[in-house]
Amino acid sequence: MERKMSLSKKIITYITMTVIALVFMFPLIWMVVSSFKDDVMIFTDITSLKAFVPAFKSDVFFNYKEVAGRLPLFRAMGNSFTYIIAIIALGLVINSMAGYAFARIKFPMKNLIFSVILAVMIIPAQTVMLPQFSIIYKLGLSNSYLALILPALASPMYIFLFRQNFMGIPESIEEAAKLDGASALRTFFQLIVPLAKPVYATVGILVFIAYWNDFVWPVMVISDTSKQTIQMALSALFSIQPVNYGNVMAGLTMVTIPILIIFLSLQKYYVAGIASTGAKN
Amino acid sequence: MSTAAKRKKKMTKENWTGLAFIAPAVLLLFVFLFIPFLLTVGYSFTNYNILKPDKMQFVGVANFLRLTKDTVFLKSIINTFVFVILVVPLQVCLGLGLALLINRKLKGISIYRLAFFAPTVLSLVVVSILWTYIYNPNNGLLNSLLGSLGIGPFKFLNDPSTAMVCIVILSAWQGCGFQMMIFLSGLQDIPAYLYEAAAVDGARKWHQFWHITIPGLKNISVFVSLNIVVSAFQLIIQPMMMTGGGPQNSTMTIVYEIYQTGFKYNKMGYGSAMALIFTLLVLILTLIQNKITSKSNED
Repeated sequence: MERKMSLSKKIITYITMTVIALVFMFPLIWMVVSSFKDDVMIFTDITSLKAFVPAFKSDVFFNYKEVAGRLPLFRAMGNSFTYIIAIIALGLVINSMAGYAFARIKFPMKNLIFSVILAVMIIPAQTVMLPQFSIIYKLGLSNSYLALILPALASPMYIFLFRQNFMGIPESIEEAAKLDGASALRTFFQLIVPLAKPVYATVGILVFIAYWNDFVWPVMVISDTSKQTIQMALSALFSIQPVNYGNVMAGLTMVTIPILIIFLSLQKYYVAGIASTGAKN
Repeated sequence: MSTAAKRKKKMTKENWTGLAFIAPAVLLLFVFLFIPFLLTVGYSFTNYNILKPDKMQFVGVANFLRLTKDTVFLKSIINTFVFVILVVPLQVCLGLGLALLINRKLKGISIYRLAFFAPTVLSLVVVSILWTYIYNPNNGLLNSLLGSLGIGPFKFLNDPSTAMVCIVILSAWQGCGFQMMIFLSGLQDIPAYLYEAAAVDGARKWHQFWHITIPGLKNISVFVSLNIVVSAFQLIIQPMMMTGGGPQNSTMTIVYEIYQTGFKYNKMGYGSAMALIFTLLVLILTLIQNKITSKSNED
């Protein structure tokens, strides 16, 4: 194995990889490029590689303006942000406290409760979606954000992840605090949480991406257009007439931008999350 | 017995703290996971209709008997298995291929990694809408491009014999970035000295791949494949958005059929019976998965 690649070999490698990357990305390139074209242009270009070549009109973002006028995409994004922030804030506290208790605190039936939580991890969400819906319906929570938030808060997988992480923190840290007479709650929030920031970031971004992209459950519990989540608003784009390719592509691109920004800024934690959970949507 | 009773009486402050720490999570899991699970089992023996709750009756195994003759449900089971059988190998191979491609020390390699990983953060709704326009038989991207080469036109999603394959392709495209990442970490765990020793022995690249890389990735491949199996089994959004389960129910899946029956048509009892069958299938898969995993860990 030669350590240094020759220049020509390097160039060939780059060219090969770029070609493969472009072919792989063709749907996304087409999506973004078409979001700046009008439909006449899209259909003239569609029969050749011109379909992937950007072209701009004087009003660059006209498709974006049109689609925002046709559908309440911005409001739906706001709705999604609101309820997801609530899930992340409350969920991190609830799951990490449980994880900490299972890692460190002695209490009766601890092992039994933990085994039950591990066992329910196997139950697929789709098994319980119908009764969950009937519970939400009976609690009178249909069409409210609580219907989206409450079932999403506690998660066996994240409790497990937090427990594993807290078990890796040396116990001597807490013992000093205990000797000083600090309460468990204080020890947890002032000592442990700051030490475990990376796992909070990992769970936070996993939750954000999962619920930003969630579709079936919101469709079941939210019927009011003003409360629609972003994916619900986006799916309406599919059926409104007349269909306009440029508008559709602008809508798709618009919804993808926030998730891409969050992913790019927290990439490291997200990849760590995939490695530790093996999760796939 | 007596020690247990004693322990029960002597709840220390720490014990209470522990219970308080888990209480919110346990309560929520109880209401939104455990009770719903019991209800799924319970409902499946009734004719519960959410719009006519007072007419709920215990019907014994009638729902399950009906399921054995429900051609759409049986078709949805077959379709789901077909999807799994096609998408798992495709996605694993794509993930492995991409991992091998970008597993090199080159400047700017992270940009390529990002490009291949990007589709995985897109929502299935976005991906489904986008690919519907790509597959559109009249003026979609694929038929237009292929047409200019004199190939096609194809009916893609409108043909019952190709619709599921179309969904398989976009699903593998969307998801394989995950597997790439996992394979990549597996590749980087294979000790470099193995390759160096092989190179000294004059082994060709292909031999190195076959005798070092592939065995080195065996456990991770099992993990990756099994993970896709269970999530592929839950397919719903793509057919829901792209085909409505058609044409001729060729893309109807188990979870989609549960959703339609229980939610769209309010037949909670019958839908729950389907959900119970679905759960059993997932449990069987998980058991097989555990068996294979423990076996491959022994090797």
